[in-house]
Amino acid sequence: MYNNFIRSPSPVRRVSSILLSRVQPSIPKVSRGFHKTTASTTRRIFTPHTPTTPFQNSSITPSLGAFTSPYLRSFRQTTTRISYHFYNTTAVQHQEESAHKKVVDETRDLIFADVPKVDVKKVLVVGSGGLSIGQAGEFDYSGSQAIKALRESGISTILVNPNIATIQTSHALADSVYFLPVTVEYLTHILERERPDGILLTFGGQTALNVGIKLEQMGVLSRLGIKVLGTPIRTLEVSEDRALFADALKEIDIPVAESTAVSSIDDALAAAEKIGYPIIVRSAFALGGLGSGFANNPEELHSLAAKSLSLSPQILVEKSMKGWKEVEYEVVRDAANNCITVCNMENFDPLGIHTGDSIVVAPSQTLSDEEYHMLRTAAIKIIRHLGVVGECNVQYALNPKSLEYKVIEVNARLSRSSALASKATGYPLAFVAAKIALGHTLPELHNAVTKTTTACFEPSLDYIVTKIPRWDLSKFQHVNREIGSSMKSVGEVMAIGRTFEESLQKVN
Amino acid sequence: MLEKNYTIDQIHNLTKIDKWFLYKLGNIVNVQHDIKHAEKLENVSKELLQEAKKKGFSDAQIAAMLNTSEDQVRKVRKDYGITPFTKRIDTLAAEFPANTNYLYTTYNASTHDVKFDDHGTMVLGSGVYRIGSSVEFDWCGVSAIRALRDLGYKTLMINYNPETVSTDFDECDRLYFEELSYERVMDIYEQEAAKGVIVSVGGQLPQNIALRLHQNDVNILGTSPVSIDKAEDRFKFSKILDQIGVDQPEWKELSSAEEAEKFADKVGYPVLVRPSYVLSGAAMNVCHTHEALHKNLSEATSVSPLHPVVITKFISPAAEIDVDAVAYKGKLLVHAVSEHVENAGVHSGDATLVLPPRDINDHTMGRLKEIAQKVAKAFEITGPFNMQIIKKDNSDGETELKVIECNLRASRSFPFVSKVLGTNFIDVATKALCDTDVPEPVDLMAEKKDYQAVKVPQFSWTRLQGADPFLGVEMASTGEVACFGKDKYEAYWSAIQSTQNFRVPKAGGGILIGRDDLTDDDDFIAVANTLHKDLGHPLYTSSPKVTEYLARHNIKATTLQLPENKKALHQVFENNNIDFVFNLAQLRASQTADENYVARRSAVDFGIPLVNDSKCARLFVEAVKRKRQEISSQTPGEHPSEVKSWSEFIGGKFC
Repeated sequence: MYNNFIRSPSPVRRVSSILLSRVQPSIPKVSRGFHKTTASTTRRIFTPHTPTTPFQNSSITPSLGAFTSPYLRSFRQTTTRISYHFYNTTAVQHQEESAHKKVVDETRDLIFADVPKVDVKKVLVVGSGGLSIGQAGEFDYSGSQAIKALRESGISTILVNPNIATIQTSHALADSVYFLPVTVEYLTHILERERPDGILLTFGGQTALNVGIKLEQMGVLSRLGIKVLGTPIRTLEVSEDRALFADALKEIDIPVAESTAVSSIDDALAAAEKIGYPIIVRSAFALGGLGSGFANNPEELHSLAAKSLSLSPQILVEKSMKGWKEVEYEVVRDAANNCITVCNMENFDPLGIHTGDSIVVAPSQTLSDEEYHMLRTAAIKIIRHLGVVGECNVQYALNPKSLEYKVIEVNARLSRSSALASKATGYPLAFVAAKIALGHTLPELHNAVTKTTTACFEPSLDYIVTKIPRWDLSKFQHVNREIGSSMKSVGEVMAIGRTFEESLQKVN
Repeated sequence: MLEKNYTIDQIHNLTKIDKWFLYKLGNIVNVQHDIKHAEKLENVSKELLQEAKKKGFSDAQIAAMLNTSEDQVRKVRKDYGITPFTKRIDTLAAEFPANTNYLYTTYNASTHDVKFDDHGTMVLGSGVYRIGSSVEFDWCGVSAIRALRDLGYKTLMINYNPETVSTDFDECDRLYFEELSYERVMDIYEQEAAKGVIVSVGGQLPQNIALRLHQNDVNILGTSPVSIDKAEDRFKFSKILDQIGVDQPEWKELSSAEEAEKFADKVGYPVLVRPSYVLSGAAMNVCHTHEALHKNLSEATSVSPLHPVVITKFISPAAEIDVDAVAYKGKLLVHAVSEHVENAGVHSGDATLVLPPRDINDHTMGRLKEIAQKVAKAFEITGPFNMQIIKKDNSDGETELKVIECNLRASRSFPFVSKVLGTNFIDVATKALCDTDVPEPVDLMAEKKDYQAVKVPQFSWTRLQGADPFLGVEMASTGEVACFGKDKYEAYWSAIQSTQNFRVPKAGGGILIGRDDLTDDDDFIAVANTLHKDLGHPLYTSSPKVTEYLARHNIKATTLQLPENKKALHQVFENNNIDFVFNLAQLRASQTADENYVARRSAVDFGIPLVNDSKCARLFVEAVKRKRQEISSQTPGEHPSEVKSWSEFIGGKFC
């Protein structure tokens, strides 16, 4: 279990140079490969970075970025000639791919010493804005923790968050607070005015993440020379884009739950052929569940898609994993490549109900040792491959009858699950993630529970935690009352007990 | 389902829930059967009771099964010596000592992990977030703990919401991650021999158990729970207001439908039907007609049979004001007066608040303060309280002020008023509660500020399939945002843009505008005029009636047929470049075919911004007009005037 804490025998001064020299040979070939391809996915990757605003190295934290992931690495070296050879499918590139993979595999488990601290004095933290379903109080908690961590390191903090009811919007925590919209326009104004050296994007939920990605794409961060601390933007982009994400995980042979948006019956059938039956169809527009359903063969899908498409311009075609278990892992990785899984959680109700609307228990109770470690290993492989520097959440669907599993989602940011995991284990994920963003490594950080041992440990609980959501649908008229894949709960409670029965009943 | 004797296998086949979980549920059901089988509390053996507690049954649950009271079960349980043990969370597999202040209680243990020599002050947290009680009470709870620690007191927090800062173990001396039930709070209080309990900063949940705690000799800090109960009970509350000469709308306690209808006929419609002991208006409704009243009475009375239902004369149109205050031994220490943008009738949690107000004259401000002083005195308040007051300007120049609601606890606007005025009301309140370092009274509203702040609700309509995006006496918002500005227009401009999925209308974008018979004509015409003539937006309506009405006021609009089919509807929006929806209807849609419901819901489903209140619409179009002018006169690279930090606005730091 402690394998991944072992440091490399000889201290490596400059992580990036070593890694870069290793992958150097593949770069020119890769570039050729790019010019040949016209795959639409490849185009999508490039459109954000036009040649006039090249992706600047300065906006990725130097030497803290992702070094185990080839596409992120190549990003570093070439600016306009960046390439993603692994998206190409020709035979030549296939060879390059395996050659590259070998390098990846070799470097994946290395631990590096002497990671330099990030040189920042003033950091802007992006908050999440007003509370809404799916983005609630957890981000006040994670943002507050991040600011506490920065403050402890003597860094001056600026917080942007219009949510005046939060605890983080207080001068006891942040040095300066802006009650302004978390939008690209307003953040640009504030960044120009304050000129911080760094920015934290992973503590304000989806809102902060989206705005951060846009700021980078518009070249604002590079223009102002602002470093993105922690997980690099590129990783955030990959985790947010279904196509990029699926391709990235394919590269390390991790299966992903696929979802294809289609707008015609033929496209739906084609997508289903690729994904494999049984299929679930969902309509892209909220229609009270109208147009959703299961299809076991092309005939069923044909009639279902015809019906759905008459109601909605677009439908999502997905593999049905009805009855599979839903399991999550919270993983932390530092810039030295130390990696731990802090907590795993299991949904009481099987796949199909949004995690936010599910009863969740931590740690998992019904997984076999083999299943547990299979998913743990996969989680670590994913976080290292994507190059997350900080905290990450991996959601799996697990077939209860076999060892088959699929990754549903990866959140390369603090999330509701990470807040729950922090409370379930006492491990302050957001605090540690912020410290890691500053270049601290797990072994040098303190365990918040003992205060004497290191943060580089995987909590093992002698109790069990249960979370139950709370809905408030009686407040609304004409509302659909079924729970499903879209979250509707407005809050949650958690209880700690020493048996599942006790913990469940305490929270009830 | 186990209770109905389904087998584990049957349930597993139906639900696919893992059998391990189902067998555990089976264990719970078995104990339940055993207890029910005992029939009487006397027949329950010590072993069975112990087993039930180990399986997590609460005293109240056991009492309900045996037709007895929670107190009886508690007494028997304690006589048997069955009490919970306090454990630290141990995440280190006992390899290292887990010296943490993060605690929980359990019956599945044999020793305590901690000693009880702190005698700390307990703060009850907010519990689960729900509509009407959210992060604002977490702020209040944490502010109270921090104030207590500053005063040198040991603190003890109880809360069981994992999304909060108050359940962060570095905020207090001891964190009990525990439910906020009477049983648990009592157990911990007795075990810890705590100094006292603060129940007034966690919203309604702690408040609901305050009286019982008080009756069982728990030292509740601040305002007596007896006073709290008087304020919660509309009948007692009203009587006291009469005694101290504070005005209130005509109301009556309801015992039969005939009486209610007679009363409503006398005072005139509309009337408001509401039960007592509510936080965000469950079952509360405005009835505009005799028939509507009849229907609603049956729904409202079933809500809480323990507490009577009241009908009140609904004053309309009138402005609403929020007063947040702190008192010490009946003397007012600080108070804040926030003005609602919407007319009375929109739940205060869904209302847009302006602070400090500039549209209330000094005389009225003085009278508001006087009301706060009288209420503080009458209820002998020590700690936070909040009031909602109706303000109606009569034709004779007199301003009527009527109190419609009063809560003897911190309200959801406490963080807002504290941060806007630069004085932490919870800090003041905590000092008052502890009777230590109590500050002198100060009139914060007398200081003139060169800024205004506006608080705007945030809704989650997109997540709630089919829900009607309509504002009423039922609270619907899930969050809030607030921004500062040189005036309310600028502050509203930033605040409304801070809400999710909102953006200002694009120049030249089509606007769908709608209303019903109750919509204020002045507002409607003013909004349409500004949008069309000043801002140059083409207007569309969904009914020929509205188009004709606008035409009569020389405003051009086009009528659109809104088809039922969502796809075709989307096409109509696309074809006409609909970029923004103003729907100022005042009546809730009774069915989903209602054209105003369709307009509101489509806006949400198609990701188009929606404004659904006529006063907000007026403020918004005025703000757009002013800001568009400002932006056009700005030099490139210049930052808009609202881009200032909080301390630049309030002129200092705030903790």
